[in-house]
Amino acid sequence: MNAAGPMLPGPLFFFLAAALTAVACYVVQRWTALAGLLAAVSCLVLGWLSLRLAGRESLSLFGRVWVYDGPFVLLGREWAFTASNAAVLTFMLFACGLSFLAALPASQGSAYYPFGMGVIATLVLSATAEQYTLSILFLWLAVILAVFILAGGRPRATTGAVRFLALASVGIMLLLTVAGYLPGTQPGTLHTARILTVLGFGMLLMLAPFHGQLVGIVARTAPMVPAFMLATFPPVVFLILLSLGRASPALLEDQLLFSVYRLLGTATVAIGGIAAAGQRRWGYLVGYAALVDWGAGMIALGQGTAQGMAWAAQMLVWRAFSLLLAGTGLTIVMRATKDDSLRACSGLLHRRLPGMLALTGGLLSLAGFPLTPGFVGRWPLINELLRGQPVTAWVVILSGVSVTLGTLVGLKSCLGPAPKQVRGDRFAALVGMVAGALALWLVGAFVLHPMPWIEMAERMLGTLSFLPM
Amino acid sequence: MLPLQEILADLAHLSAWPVFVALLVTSSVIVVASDWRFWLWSLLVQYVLLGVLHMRVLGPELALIKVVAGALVCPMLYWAARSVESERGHKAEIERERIAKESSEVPLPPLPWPVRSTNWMFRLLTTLLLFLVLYSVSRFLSLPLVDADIALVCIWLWLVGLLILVLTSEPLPAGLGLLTLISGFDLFFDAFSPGLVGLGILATVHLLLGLAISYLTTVRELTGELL
Repeated sequence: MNAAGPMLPGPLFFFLAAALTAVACYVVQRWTALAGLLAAVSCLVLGWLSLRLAGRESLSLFGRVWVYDGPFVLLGREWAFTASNAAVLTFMLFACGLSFLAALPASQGSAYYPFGMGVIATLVLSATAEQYTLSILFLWLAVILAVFILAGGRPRATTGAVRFLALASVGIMLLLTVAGYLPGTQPGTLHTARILTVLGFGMLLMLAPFHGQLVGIVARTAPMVPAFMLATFPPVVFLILLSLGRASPALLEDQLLFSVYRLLGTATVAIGGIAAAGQRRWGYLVGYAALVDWGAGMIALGQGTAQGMAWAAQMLVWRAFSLLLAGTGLTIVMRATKDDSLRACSGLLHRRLPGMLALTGGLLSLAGFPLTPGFVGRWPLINELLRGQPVTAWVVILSGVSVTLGTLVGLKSCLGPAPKQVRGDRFAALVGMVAGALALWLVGAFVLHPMPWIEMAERMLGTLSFLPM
Repeated sequence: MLPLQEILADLAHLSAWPVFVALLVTSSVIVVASDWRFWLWSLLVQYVLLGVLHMRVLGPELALIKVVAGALVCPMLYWAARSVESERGHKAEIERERIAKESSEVPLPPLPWPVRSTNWMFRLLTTLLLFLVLYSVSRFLSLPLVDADIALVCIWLWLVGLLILVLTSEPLPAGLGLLTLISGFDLFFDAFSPGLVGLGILATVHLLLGLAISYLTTVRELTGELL
């Protein structure tokens, strides 16, 4: 290690880089494309650097080490890079970079890029904090910053934002309270700690009956916001859950959390499946499709095995990709029609073929349709469920079918003649296509080559020795 | 010892019961009153009262940080609510003039803002019911690491905060409910000795929440989309 000049510890470097980018994006927010490019490039570069730090390499330039993988200490509190949080940060940064790129063709609200980078900066501190309480507190700050992205200047999005803020805050307060009930703090309070953990993480992971915030986020916000939200918060929440499980194995030992999440995950899938087929708006269809996929991920987590955890992590990766695709399509559709109702989309299949293909691809992927990215995580889970829990397996299968039917109904309504207001916008289409092609190339290079992610997920979960294979 | 320090030292040893009674009044005003000005004044008084209870665990200097953070939230919300109300009033006046000119009818007075989906009597009765719930559970419900009187204050603030959140989805009243809920939690969290960093982050949480609620309140009343 070169000690000739000042070097930054990894967590501090990533926080400062993201925070400075947030400020820069805020300064240039009037020029949306510039702010978007700045945010996207920063995220992708930081993602690449994080990948290198995850491999225990120091970051050097011009023959000098600038960033090293040591801890950052402030007022006795410590932030450090580990294999697990580096994997989570790498995934989060790449997924956010792609969502920023794919958001370029249309406005997602002036707060999207600056506050998006602010959320990332805060989540870096949350993911790398060594103390559980500090992780949760920084997560809370990130939740509050995310409200600005969720509302994003859209009056109809405020209800979803309020719901998200309230439920996430209550969940976070419950999780902060867990520390007071942990073994060793008070005798005989372990059961209370377990219940608080189940409730707190259940709220943060948006399980039924707290699923309303997920649908509100996906259906009412700007099209690319859900991809961003689901690529940033859930991985960090998973990381905190695993860190807590590692620090206090007694909390998860009785499998209460896993049993409850398996049941609630099944309920979430069923609710999403029942609602998806009847939707008459693309936004809500994507919302309920995301709910089905989300619930399936929770069932995987609820298996309580290392294999189930790996499936849940895989689904997390593919879900971000599916939502990215659906969001890109929805952005193009909304730009063309200013309305996401199926009735307003008549003729769009001819006029906005790339957008409609992206939207359909994203939805089918969320449905777990064969040969789509969502299929990769969903089907091993279904195979496993068919052996031991056939009812749950059929709920998952039928919900996927329901989302597929909803998508087909939507596609049918796009076959009709185009209304007059839908005109060709060659420039936007060109920008969309270029951004989409770039996003696809990046996805191909980093995400569709899944082995590194799976390896990282396994590394992340490797320390959970109390979970059976 | 200076008189101020003496007063603070006395306050730190004060029983929570008088503060609890005062908090019953302030939080009930937030639930029951219809005018947002009453809510904000009550919230401000609530932060000062909670500051007295924070002193018991944290000492006067750190308790002051909590009071200042809370007190800063109130003007943020005030300006947001004031600007939204005056904007609505302005639009309503233009609309009334247009209706009066075009149809020579006497237009209806503008609706009060923010709209609450329940009337004050219902909210008052629900608050009373909540108090009865608190009274009945207080005998067997205890919180770890905190005294019984403080625990009662925490539980009351949680109940009231949750009630407000259940009753409305409007950003301003729901935000006040959330702030009340978090105030109760903040008091409970003192017992966990969060340290300076923890206290600082919690104060930042309060300030950011104030900003976020103000932003949501303003955006909610936009007639178009601000992109």
